Amino acid sequence: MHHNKVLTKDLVAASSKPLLLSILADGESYGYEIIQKVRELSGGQIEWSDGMLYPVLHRLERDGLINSEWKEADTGRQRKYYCISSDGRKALKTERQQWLAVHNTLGKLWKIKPVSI
Amino acid sequence: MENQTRFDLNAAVEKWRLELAAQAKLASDDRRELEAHLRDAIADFQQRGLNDEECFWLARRRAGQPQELGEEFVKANPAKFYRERAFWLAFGLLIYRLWDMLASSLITPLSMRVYRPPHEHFGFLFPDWVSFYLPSWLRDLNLAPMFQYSIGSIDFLLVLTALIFVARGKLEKLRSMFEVIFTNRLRFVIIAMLSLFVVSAVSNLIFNSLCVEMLRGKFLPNYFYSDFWSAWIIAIVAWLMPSQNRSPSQLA
Repeated sequence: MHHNKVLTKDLVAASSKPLLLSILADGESYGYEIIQKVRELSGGQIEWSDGMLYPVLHRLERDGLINSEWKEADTGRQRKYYCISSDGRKALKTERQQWLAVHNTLGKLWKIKPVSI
Repeated sequence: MENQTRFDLNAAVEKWRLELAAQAKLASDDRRELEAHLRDAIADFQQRGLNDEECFWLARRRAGQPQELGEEFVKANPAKFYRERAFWLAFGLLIYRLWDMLASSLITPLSMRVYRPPHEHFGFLFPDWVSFYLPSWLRDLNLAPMFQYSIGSIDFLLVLTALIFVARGKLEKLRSMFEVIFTNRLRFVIIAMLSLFVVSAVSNLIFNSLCVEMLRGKFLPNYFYSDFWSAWIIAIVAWLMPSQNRSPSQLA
């Protein structure tokens, strides 16, 4: 088996929603900052491409889970900032339960304590 | 890394922006967001001590190919893509409508006035001793319809110009010509209504001055109906208008 440290495409797609909602639950943010944050938090294992992020953000916005607004940043340039909505917080709660359910099940099967990856 | 010519970051970003703009699948708001992203990435690399050229190429590479970006964005929101298309279609219709009002105020009277019987026959263009030798079908050839067709094609000139622009890939140039009036809805509606009134007044003026002795007010086109029609298109264009349109932001 070939060991790849970077997450597979399927997993990146599946985890993008809970990750985005969790990041925005901490406060508003914009595209570039979000990608940096994910890279940093995952130690480089989750690498989001710029082209993939915005469509996901736009879909979440259409679903009413996040809101966006153009604002002037301290650099004087305009940026589109995203923040979580109340529906988004509810959705995050559900996501959290489901992901933890997967996590716990796998943990029991593999008989492992949380390991450093 | 020393270059023979200095690298112009603003020009490079502008070129990238145009490349992106060539992607019809990206709405203007999407493009604006991607541009902000590119500038964020450039600023980040600059802070890490890379030179302008390195910053730009790295940021560009990260952002991905404009075409791929277009595909991704459409997949996420097809409705937005078609909405923008519908917007330009409706806007084109409005411009054509205004042009048509002007053009037809010229065409109708001119085509009625210039060739009036019996001057409309081909034979009448020549002295009698010439037309006498012409075969009768040529002598009696009615020129009025031909004249009407050729003068009627003034109406089509605008469409032709637009088609040439599009065929030569100058769509973006065409678009940027109008970008000023799309900064917000209110501005667009005011400008559009004003142009509608001006065009309708001017075309009535032309029409009446050309027809005054000929028609004696017997025949007047129903301009109120036309205005009503245009007002509806203005409302539709304003409704379909992308919420964010703007001029390119400047690099700090």
